Amino acid sequence: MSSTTDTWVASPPDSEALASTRGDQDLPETVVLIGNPNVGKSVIFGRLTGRYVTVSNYPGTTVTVTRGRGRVAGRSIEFIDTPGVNSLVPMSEDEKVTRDILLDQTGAAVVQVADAKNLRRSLLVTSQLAEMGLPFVLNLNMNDEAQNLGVSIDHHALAEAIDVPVTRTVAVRKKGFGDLKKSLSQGRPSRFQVGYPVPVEEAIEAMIPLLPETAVSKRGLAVQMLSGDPTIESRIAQAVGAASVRRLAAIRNTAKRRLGATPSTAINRARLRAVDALLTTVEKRPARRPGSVLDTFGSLAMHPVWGIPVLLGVLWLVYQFVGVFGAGTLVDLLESRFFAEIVSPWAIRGVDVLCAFPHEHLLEDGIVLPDYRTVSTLSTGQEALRLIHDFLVGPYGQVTMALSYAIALILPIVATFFIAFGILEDSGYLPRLAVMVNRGFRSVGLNGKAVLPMVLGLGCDTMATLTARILETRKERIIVTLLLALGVPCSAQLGVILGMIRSLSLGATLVWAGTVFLTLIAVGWLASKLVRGESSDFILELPPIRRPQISNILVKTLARIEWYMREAVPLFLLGTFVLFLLDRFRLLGAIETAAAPFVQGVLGLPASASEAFLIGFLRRDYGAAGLYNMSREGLLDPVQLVVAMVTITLFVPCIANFFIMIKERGIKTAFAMVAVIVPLAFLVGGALNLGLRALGVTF
Amino acid sequence: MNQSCPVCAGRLSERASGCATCPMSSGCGMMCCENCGYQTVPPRSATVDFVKKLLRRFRHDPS
Repeated sequence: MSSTTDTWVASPPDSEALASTRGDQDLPETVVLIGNPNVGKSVIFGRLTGRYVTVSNYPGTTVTVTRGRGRVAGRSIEFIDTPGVNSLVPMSEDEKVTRDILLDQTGAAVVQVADAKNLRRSLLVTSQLAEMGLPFVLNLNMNDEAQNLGVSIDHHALAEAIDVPVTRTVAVRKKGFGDLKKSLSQGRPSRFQVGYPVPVEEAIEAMIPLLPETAVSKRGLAVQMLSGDPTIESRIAQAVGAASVRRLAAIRNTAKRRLGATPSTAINRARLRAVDALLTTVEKRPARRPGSVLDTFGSLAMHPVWGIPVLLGVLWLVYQFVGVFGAGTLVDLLESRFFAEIVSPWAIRGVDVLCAFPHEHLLEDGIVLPDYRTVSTLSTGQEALRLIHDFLVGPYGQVTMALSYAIALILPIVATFFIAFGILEDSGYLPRLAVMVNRGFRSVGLNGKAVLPMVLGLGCDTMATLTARILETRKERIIVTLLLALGVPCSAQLGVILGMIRSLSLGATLVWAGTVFLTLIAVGWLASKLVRGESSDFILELPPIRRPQISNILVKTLARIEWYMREAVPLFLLGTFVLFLLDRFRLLGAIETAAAPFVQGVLGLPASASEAFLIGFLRRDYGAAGLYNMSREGLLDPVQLVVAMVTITLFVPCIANFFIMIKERGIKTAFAMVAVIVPLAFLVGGALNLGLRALGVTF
Repeated sequence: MNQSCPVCAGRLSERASGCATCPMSSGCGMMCCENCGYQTVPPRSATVDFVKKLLRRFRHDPS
């Protein structure tokens, strides 16, 4: 296949003539299969081809494209299985590859595979194929599943409405392939066209004379340009020159001014309206059962007003499970009983035997503590043994601190949180939360897919920062990265915070949540004013609300715990080793002394809180665990606890997140963000401390 | 175990573009949604596999 721009700027094929003259003897040499994800494209590809296929990366990408040859009416035809798309205005590398194949594959027949159960999603792509003027056939797959769900599609009416052949298959049962093969020679451009608002239509008319002749229609190109697709702009620039592209951009800006919104918003809305209007004439769905508890919950969860109490209710349940049961009952059992009374004393005694030097451990209620005092002057050899002893079971020991924090303190919390998060995932609540939150995000210059990384950040900020690449504009990507790093606690940290909340009153909890929320809103709003760019739209296909399966939740939770242990424990060991070295070289005390004016003076916390913030640079949840431990030992009063929680919540998530920020946003932007986040965290914490003290709040 | 995206019901894949280009993907094994980019841990558990293996062995050799 050719994928060069030269091929793309070839003369378009006369599709009408092509369609009218093609018969079984005039089959295309190449057939491109396209469609949404999960519509059975690959099964159809497998049935049409055979065992021998070629899987290769699309040039210049990591996206794989599968090709194979199959026989139709005695002729050998090449079939191309493309990555799944939800739009031909690409939002991801996968979608760009599919769009580029359509642009480059001049003269090929296109078969759009649709999921008959979910025709609406597929017709959005159909409308784009129609707009591009490409000859194609629409194949409705999974007809049996649609029928089982009571969905009936009048495929004759659909074929008439869009004026292209519509075939039906049940690919997994090899049904309908005769008709599909026959239709390959009958693909033609569809007359299903979407009408746009006047400013968009006038912009399309103004753009058409400036656009090059290509395999796709100029109207289709104009709509892609208006949708703000930068990849199509660069291709057009190569064909018509930079001056024409500047004029095209000016036309787009004029349309945007006249619309008062991005043209892509108007285009998507018009497309959805057109598809919905078509659906009413060709599809019949069974009436929804009124009053179903799950359906009612799903509707309420998305509602702009009722969604808030639903969210608060969900948070309360999560808190009861994670904060009260996980951080209370389970941590008491593991940390206070198992680790403090059995594991640590056993490890200390064992290391004392192996690394003997004259010392006595302190005791508390008859239990051996890591702290000790030497009973005589140590020789050089004994000093070496003491070093190994301290490294393993000293106050900053790998067993007594790192493993104790990781396994006894945080593991029960994250395990319960992973169970709760798994239930939320499998229930279908998360996309509804995204829809509800979307409205609030608009106020900070964010909308659309920006919600997804923010929700995902509750799982892992590092991965969420990577997900920010799905956002259309640089502005959105920067704001989301900043907000994720600043104030979206990851699962581990959220779990620890829920544990800390346990010892707070409702008022103190609201002060913590309110301060973090207001800081996020203020920084997001400010960032949206400072970082130039456009906002994008939000189209999300909602999965149904369903009852989670216990076996699925358990396997997911175990998989997540294993992943967490692999990812977090090495950093806990490293962080503890850093503290051990700093303590050994008497730098820890120096750091605490240097930070005292700020940690003690401004934040009003004990000097030892510096250690928590220090290891917080490695992982925010590790720092939070340090503060949690201080609160459990009664070293923090409620005001100090709230101030500590606000400061650590607004901290940089972890060292891995920082590296990803550098990779995704560039070293300058990443350092600029950290330079904003760290002082801001202390500033907000300090202001809160001073404010609460001045007001005489004690909680 | 097949898993669809909990956010948009798209297909989760360890080869989706988001994961493939991640500098931390080596040994990570996270799955990405091909549709919306949501990332999650694959529903595979070494603990569950280990227990299943033990149970299978026990069933075949109860003595």
